[in-house]
Amino acid sequence: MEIDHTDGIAWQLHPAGVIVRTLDDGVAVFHQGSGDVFVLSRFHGEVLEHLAAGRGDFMALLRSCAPDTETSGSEDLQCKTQEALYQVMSTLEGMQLVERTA
Amino acid sequence: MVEVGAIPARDFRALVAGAGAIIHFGRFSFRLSSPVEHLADEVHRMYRHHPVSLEGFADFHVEVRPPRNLRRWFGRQLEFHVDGSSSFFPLPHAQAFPLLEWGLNWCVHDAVKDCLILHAAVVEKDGKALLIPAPPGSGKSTLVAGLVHHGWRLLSDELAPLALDALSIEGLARPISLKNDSIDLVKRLTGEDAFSGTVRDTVKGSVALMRPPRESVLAVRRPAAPVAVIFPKFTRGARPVHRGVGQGAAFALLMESAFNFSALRRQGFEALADLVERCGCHEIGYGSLDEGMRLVEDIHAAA
Repeated sequence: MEIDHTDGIAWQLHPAGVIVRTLDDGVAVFHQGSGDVFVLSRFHGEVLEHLAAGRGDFMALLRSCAPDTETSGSEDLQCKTQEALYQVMSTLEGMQLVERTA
Repeated sequence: MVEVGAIPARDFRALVAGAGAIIHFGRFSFRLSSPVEHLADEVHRMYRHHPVSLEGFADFHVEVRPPRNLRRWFGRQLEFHVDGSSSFFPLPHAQAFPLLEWGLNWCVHDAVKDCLILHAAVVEKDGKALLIPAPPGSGKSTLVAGLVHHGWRLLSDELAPLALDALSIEGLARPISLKNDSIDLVKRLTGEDAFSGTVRDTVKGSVALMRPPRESVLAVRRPAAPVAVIFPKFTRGARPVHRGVGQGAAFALLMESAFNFSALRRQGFEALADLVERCGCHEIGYGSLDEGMRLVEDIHAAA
């Protein structure tokens, strides 16, 4: 997957509110608007926690969720990490747990 | 209050056919009225240890009777009415008692607003309760019947009302519903006396109910603290296996068993998350009742 212009993309949690409970093998997530419930991976939960803390910019998320990749990974690894994070954000968008702000 | 069994069967039949009898289970009560004599007789046997009163408040006014519309001409059928209305299809006359039990399940799940109602059995020993959710056909009720026969307290076979702080589960102590091959299996263990008649050709196959022990009925108002969640799976001839289940996986499975999740919304979500955090979650597979009970005993001992 080719991702262009990631610099400008940012997300926030859905304004209705999202509750995240961290469990030993994943997270349970409750959408306070729709009432939908999801069980997701710990990585998804980590991303949601960063968004809850106001860190929704793509590059900031990348630095928070995969801090070593940016400094020590090869270009190929960096690219794959970006793709993976973008996929996660698309999944969360599809679930309407997050929405783009930019 | 006297127990149902203290009233002679013939008098109980007359009560049910007349003003009705109010039977209490846990925090609930239902006034049963019905002209169907074999239903009154089965209730008299299966609710033998439950308290009964003749007047006063009842949560559910239940009537099981033949239809009064054109349906009465289509074979001998019965309808379940609660508080004057019926949301159920009529069933054959012979299925009166299962119809009552299934209708009462609906009443409880519809009435409870302050607990998360899980489709699960609950048994307790030494103050430690086990929650056993499972889809039909997994052997849940057979396992529960075996445990209860060996001295465990029955809180519920079908519906588990979990307090919203997830610290306790209420008891209902209603009859255990057994199906198909498990009926004879458990009868061989417990004897025939505790069983209702077997009703064949229901939507669930052959069904018979097993009376809860008197000790369980007397202790029904004492909630129990859940310490473990067990997902059982009976497969004839299979070797016994026991695996831990992650909290997230257990949460997802329990979601499928939660009846009123959408009504409770965040409260239900938090209760379920608290439950899986607090309890050990297990999956057991077994090929015989004895093996299943041994696995449950091991989990209980370690909890």
